[in-house]
Formats: sequence, structure tokens, C-alpha cells
Amino acid sequence: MAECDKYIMMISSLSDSELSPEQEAELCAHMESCSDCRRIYDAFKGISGAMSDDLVEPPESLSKSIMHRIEAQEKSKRPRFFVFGRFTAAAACLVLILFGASRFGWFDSLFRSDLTRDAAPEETVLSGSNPEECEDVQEGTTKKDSDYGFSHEQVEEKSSGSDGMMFTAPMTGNSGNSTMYAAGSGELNGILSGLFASGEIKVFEGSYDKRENVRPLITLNDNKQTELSDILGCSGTDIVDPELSDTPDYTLLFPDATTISLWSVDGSIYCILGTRETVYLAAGTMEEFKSFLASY
Amino acid sequence: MTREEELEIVRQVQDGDSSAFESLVLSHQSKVYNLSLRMVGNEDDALDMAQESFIRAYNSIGSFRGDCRFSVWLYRLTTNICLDFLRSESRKAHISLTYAEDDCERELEIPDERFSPQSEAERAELRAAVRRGMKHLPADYRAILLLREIDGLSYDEIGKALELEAGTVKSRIFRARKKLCEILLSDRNFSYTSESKERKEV
Repeated sequence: MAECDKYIMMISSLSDSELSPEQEAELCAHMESCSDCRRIYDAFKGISGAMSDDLVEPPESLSKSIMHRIEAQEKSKRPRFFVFGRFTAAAACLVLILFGASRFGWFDSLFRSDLTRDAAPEETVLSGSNPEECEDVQEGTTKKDSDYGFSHEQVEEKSSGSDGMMFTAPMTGNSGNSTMYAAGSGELNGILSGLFASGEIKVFEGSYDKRENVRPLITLNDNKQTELSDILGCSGTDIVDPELSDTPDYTLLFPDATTISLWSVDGSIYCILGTRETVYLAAGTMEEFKSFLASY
Repeated sequence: MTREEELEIVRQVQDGDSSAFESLVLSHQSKVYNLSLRMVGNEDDALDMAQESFIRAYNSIGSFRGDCRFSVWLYRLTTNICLDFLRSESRKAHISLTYAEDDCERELEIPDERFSPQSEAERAELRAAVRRGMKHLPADYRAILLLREIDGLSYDEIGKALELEAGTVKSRIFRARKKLCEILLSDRNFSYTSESKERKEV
């Protein structure tokens, strides 16, 4: 049998037709005179046959349920992303129109009479208050600009997001509009901390549809929530118009049915907090998140 | 379906035609389901695993480059999903999923006639015994044997699916078969049928 040790592993490869012609010839020659190795070969072939003959038909419902889930997934992402995209486009157009309008004095009378009275404090820069209120307007602006109480530089600064808020809608004069991009928001991190401490968290691959009975990748119900919170907390970095695919890479579901959807973009994680349509850049990387999943 | 036809369908799905994915499902659902069934051991979980495999394949089809057969890529997803599932189940039951090195050191006991069935009854008994035996194989061994026997992958394709070197595939398949033989030989329910008893007595 000692000589057979050399051939036993080859017998396994022979039954899979994975030997070279020379190796096969050598082994077959050995098996002609060795009944033990022949029986091992027969056993391996018998097992192979038993496994390949033992296939069962999948349930008829399998393919239907898969396609149904895919269709539901495709339908569910279209309206959401459509609204998201429309709102972004609408907000961007509004800013451009208002900038142009204010630049050329189209709403001169409106600004002077209405918004000075009703605008939130940060809006008065654009409001075009009375000339007497424009003493602080920077030199170098045109006479027209100073008449309207704002400078070109101030308008650009407002729309650049340097304060971390992008694309607010100034026309309503209400700084509490839906915020599309929130970076560095203490309030946001406060909300996230509350969510991550609220109890069981389920992590799904792709999007989450509560109508489908989908098994989560993992369910967190121990102290790991803190670790996850560190990875998915808001980084405080501004982000500009992320191009996100229709389906997130992962979705987190919290006890109160709030979701956070995650997208991997160049190794970073872009997050959408479902109930507020808020997009933020996570503190951790997708690699850290996947390592966390793998370790759980 | 030829490999070219399959690649064309994949391209259609990648271009946004989700309905084209159905033909890939119909083509591969049997092997994916059977792989899942033999990995996890029951129909309900197998159904979940198979569904999840196809959904995950659909969602990540953009990453399929065509450098291997679609089936190899799909079976890899399926295997990983099943292994992840078994890992989470084993954590609850404190079961080890991998083989111990010293498992491989025992000499292979020479199998008997039960492994060479002659009649349909003997073949059915061997199939049932192999089914039982597979449940006792470590998940790593189970996965590699199933990819070879159910899905018909070559050693090279198994290496791509499991990210293993060719030599490792060869030795692991051998060890899996050896372990399965040992399990079957010690299976008291795997007995001679009356036909094989007669042949032995002769």
C-alpha cells in the first residue's frame, strides 16, 4: 500500500479527467495489478455518480419569485430617484433664475418691499434692502449691486456651500427647506447616534423592500452598533452632487423603520438617510464597512 | 446556451434590460438550487440561498467582465452566500466549518462493493448515503465537492470560483472524497442490499 500512496491522489484526479495523458497511462498500468486502488477508483466514481444523479428540480416558484423581486426593485428605485433628481434639478434652476433675476434687477421692487420684511436673517444679503442699509457693501461692486444691497461676491459665497449647506431655496425665505446635502451637521450626527443606539439593526444587501421577505445579511443586537456608528457617522466633509447608481450597495433598517442606504463611490460611502432624503459622506470607508460585516 | 449567447444576454442586462435576466435564471436555477440544497441541507433555506444568489448576481452584474463562464461567477456567489449562512448558523451552534489538518492523516480504508452499485436499489441507497454523508462534511469540503460534482466545474474553474491555487483544488477535492468515504464506511444505515449480499457470498 506504500506504493499506492503515490497513486491515491492521482486516482481522485483521474475520476475528474484532470490527469495528463502520461499520468493517466501510469496510473492505469498500476491499477491493472492493484485491486485496492481499483476499488478506491470505483468508490470515487460511485460517489461522483451518486451526487450527479441526485439532482432535484427547483420549485416552479423560484424563477418567478426572483423576477418578481427584480421587477419590484426596479419599480421602487425609479420614483424615488426621479423625485430626488427632479428636486435637485429644480433647486439648481431656481438658484440660477434668482441669481440672474437679482443680478439684473428683475425683482427689484419685490425684494425691496417684501423680503426685507419677511426673509430669515441670512436672506437679507440678497434681499436688496434700502440704500441706507447697504453701508457695509464692499467697495468695488457696481452701483447697481449696491443699490440692491448685495454684492456679486456675497451671492457666490452663499451658493458655494462653504457653510456646509448646498442648494437651499431662497425664494421662500425659509432656511428650513428640505436639505439635499448636509455636511458637517452636528444635528445630523445627533440623529444618527440616536438611530444606532435605538436597538436591533438589520443590514441588507442592495435596497430594502418591506413587502419582500428578504433575509438580512446580518442583524446587530449587541454592542457592535457603536462600531458601526463610527463607520457610518457623518464625516463632516462637503460633497458635491454625487452620481449614485439606482440601487444602493447596502441598506440598514432600524427599529422605527428608518433606513440608511449606502453607496460605494471610489472607496467612500455615500449615505442617504431615508426619512429626510439627506445625503452625506460617511466617516469610514466601504472597506471598513465590509470588514465589519465579515467579522460579525 | 453557448458562452457567446450567454455573454450577449449579460450585456443586455448590463445595458438595463432586466427582463433578459430571466433566461439566465432559467438556465442556471437547477444547479444553483441543487448546490444550495446540498450546502445548507434543507429546502427552505436552499430556496432562500438560491434566490439571494440570483438577486445578488443581478445587482452586481455590472462587475462581471466575461473572463470566466457566467456559471462559474454565479456558483461562486452561491457558494459564498451559503458559506456565510452556514457560518452564522455555526456561530449559534459552535460548530466548526473547516477541516482539521489531522483529519487528512488517517489512511484511506479500502471501500467495498457498496460504492459500486449494480442495481437501481443499490444506486438509490448509495445516493441516500452520500446525501447523509455530505451533511457531516465540513462546509469547505462540501463546497468544493459540489462545485465539481453538481456544477461540473473543472479544477481551473473551481480555483477561480474559490480563489484557490490549482494544487490546492486538487488536494482539497481528494481530501473531501477521502473524508466522505470514511463517513460512509462508518454509516450504519449504509448497508448491503439483499442483491449485493448474494454477490458477496458467491
